Amino acid sequence: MSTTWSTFDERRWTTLFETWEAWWNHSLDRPVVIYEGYLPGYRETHPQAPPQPSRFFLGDFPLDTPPEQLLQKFEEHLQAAFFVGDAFPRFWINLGPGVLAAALGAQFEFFEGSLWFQPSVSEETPLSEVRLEFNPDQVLWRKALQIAHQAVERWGSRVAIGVTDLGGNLDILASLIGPQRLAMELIDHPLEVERLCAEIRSFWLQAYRDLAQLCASNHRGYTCWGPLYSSRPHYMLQSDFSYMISPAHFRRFVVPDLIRCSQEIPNAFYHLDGKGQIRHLDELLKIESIRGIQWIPGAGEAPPQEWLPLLQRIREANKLCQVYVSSEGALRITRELGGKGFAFVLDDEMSPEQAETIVKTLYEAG
Amino acid sequence: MENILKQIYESVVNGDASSVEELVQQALKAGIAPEAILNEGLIAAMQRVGKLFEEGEFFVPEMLVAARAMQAGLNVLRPILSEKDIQPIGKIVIGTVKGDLHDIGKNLVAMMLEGAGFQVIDLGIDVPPQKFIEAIQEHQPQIVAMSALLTTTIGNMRLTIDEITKAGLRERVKVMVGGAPVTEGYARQIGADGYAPDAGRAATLARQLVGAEP
Repeated sequence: MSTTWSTFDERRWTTLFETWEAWWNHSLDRPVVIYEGYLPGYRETHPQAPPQPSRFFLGDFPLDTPPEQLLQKFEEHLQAAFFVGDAFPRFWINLGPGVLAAALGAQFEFFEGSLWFQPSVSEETPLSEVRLEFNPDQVLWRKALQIAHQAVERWGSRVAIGVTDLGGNLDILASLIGPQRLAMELIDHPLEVERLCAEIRSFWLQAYRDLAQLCASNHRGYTCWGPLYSSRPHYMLQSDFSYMISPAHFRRFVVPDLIRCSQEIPNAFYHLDGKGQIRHLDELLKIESIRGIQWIPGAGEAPPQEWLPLLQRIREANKLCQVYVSSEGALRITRELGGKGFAFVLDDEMSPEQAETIVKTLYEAG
Repeated sequence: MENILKQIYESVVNGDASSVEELVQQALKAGIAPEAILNEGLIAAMQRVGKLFEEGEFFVPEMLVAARAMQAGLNVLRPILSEKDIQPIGKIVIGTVKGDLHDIGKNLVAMMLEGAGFQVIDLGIDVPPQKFIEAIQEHQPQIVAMSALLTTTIGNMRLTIDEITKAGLRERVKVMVGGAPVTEGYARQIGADGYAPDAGRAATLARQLVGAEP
């Protein structure tokens, strides 16, 4: 049954909580299915609205926009939204992937809807002289905290509030010294890269703890920049830089970080982004504390249902798996591999009735 | 002679820039022709690097350090090649299209092209069509190479080709495209002359487009 924000009552939250809990425990015999859309007519009258409310990008607004204005804007979209299946009212602090990098000194600008970084460490500075310092007053970091505070105050437990995208260890280091330099430093000065990765990790964990605690202070569980819901601390770990590196470099520079972070965050997932990262999958599947894999085929690639052997590898390793997929694609995956252990976030545009029908079919085929 | 060229080749593949620089100087002192150092040492090594990348043995870091080593050798050779009036096999204008600030892929392709014997004019990132047009007029390249890494900017490749056509320059240049969201089919659809899925193959494609390779 579809639900709007105003009718998403405590009973619905309880069911949601129980369903997701069962999914995380591998005891749900069907997939979780998320569909979030707008009530008929809304997109026509609000062409600026994001495709779904949860894709609301705060970077589209000037940086000095007061948080209450941003939340008000988001709330307008939320009021016009409906939720089907295991979807839930969700707001995440979408300031792009560089909040932590910025707090560690990276220079950034919003450009054409994305956050772009310029190296803040000069090329002449040897890596051995690079020292990282966290600036709690950095504008993006302050903004993330202010927005989280105000979101909790404004909506209380009526919305699950998600931790911002903190980036992965090498992604953050790449923002600070430039990706090309980082790629070469992996070979030129691996010990210094390891030292900086360890320093970033401790800042990362502290930033996660601070933000997760704040976001979950409304007692509505945990979510993040990924679409999953969890009663226990959860995060979608990532390392986009890994697209460019060898399995040996991944093992050396990224895996220790993923192990440490996922040991602290009980329901940690990994964002496997693009076919260039498939070579790291075996290594990822060996990390026991990573609970699941989000597979993103990447721009220009076939949709998730065309990657059945890959999805099967993930499931056979007893990991959960999340994909953004069409209804048709979700049905195909369910028919071929079974829906258990999958989280399907449906990305086609549907009316509440159409979405309900497809979700019911997926539950039954589960 | 063969031995020193082999050492140059190996040092480039291993990304050892200081050895390459030293070895190229030694080779010149030993009377080895700069063309031989260029073709059998540096260019051959970069072709091998491209192949290793294609085969999944090398990744971006290994490629970058190899390209840096090749550059170190080229820096020693360049004044001598210029003195002897040895021309590059072609001239290429390269850039990441408007709206896109990604540069690592484009830089890698530029390095591989240089390693394949081309003179490369790098326009940088966020390059509007007009800047490509001005560069064609100024530098008279045989090839224009465009990169895009975003689905939101890939359309600017078509726009750039259309603008080059409107400016009456399309017949004067071959256009090659690449980047994560770009496919062979897309390249055809927008009227490009070639598409390469990675930097190694971009160098091979460019050599083919100027007739330096079958």
